Amino acid sequence: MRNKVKKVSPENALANVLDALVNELLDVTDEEVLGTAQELKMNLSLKESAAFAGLLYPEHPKVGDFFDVESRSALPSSDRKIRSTLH
Amino acid sequence: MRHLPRLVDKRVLLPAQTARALQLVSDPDLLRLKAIARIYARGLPPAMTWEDILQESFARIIAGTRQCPEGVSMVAFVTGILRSLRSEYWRRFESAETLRVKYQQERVDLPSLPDAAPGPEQTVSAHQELEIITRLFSQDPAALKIIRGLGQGLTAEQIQKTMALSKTDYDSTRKRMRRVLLREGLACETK
Repeated sequence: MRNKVKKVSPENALANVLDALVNELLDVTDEEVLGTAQELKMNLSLKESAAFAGLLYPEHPKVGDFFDVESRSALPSSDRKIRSTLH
Repeated sequence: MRHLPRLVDKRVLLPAQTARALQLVSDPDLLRLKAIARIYARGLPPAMTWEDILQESFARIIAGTRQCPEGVSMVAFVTGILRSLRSEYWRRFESAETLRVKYQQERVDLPSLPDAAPGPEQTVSAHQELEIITRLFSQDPAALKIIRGLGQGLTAEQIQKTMALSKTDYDSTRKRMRRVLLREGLACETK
């Protein structure tokens, strides 16, 4: 007899699947990880290797990585400064 | 002298010890964390990436807001933080949305408590992500059966029984799935 299939909400189904996939990755051996990196032609001896993108350096550079955007936005705009000196 | 039992039965590492352990994570473990963060980033609120949740988990460890129990591996510890961050971000995103909509509709200054049930955006996002995961294994019918079973919360034995898979088939399919997940987790995103 077949087991009764339960109706699960998409959010719970996704959470179940993600947890199970993560458990698979926790079981993966170091050799498998290194082997996959080699298959993808990633040289792990280099810190700038693509394998470390997002880990040791940002995967997609953002403005905030080079400039202090938060402090900059707190400063009065140059336009306002010019206007205040004129009046 | 009588020995009193400790009030806390789990010993935790000091924040500095945890931060040091994080620094000493090996390259394969670092890559494993990348692949795990990519999985948990699936179905995150808009504009959140795997880098965001991974960096946030590191920041919490260094700040000492998360304490690592003694004897727990750093990968397992960070994985636990990533898992909780995923639900935390959705809660935060939806409570902000609820308050905004309530204010616009009712013009009331008093904030109402956010609904604990998942909102429509989370449901749509979950649907889309399940489809993407299904597409990832579309070439492997046995893997699709396992994904379907996992989604329903079935155990390994139940999946084998319900989906008519032998133990050997199940184990070899899991191996193939791991390889796909690793490739997907380590590869660079094209943007």
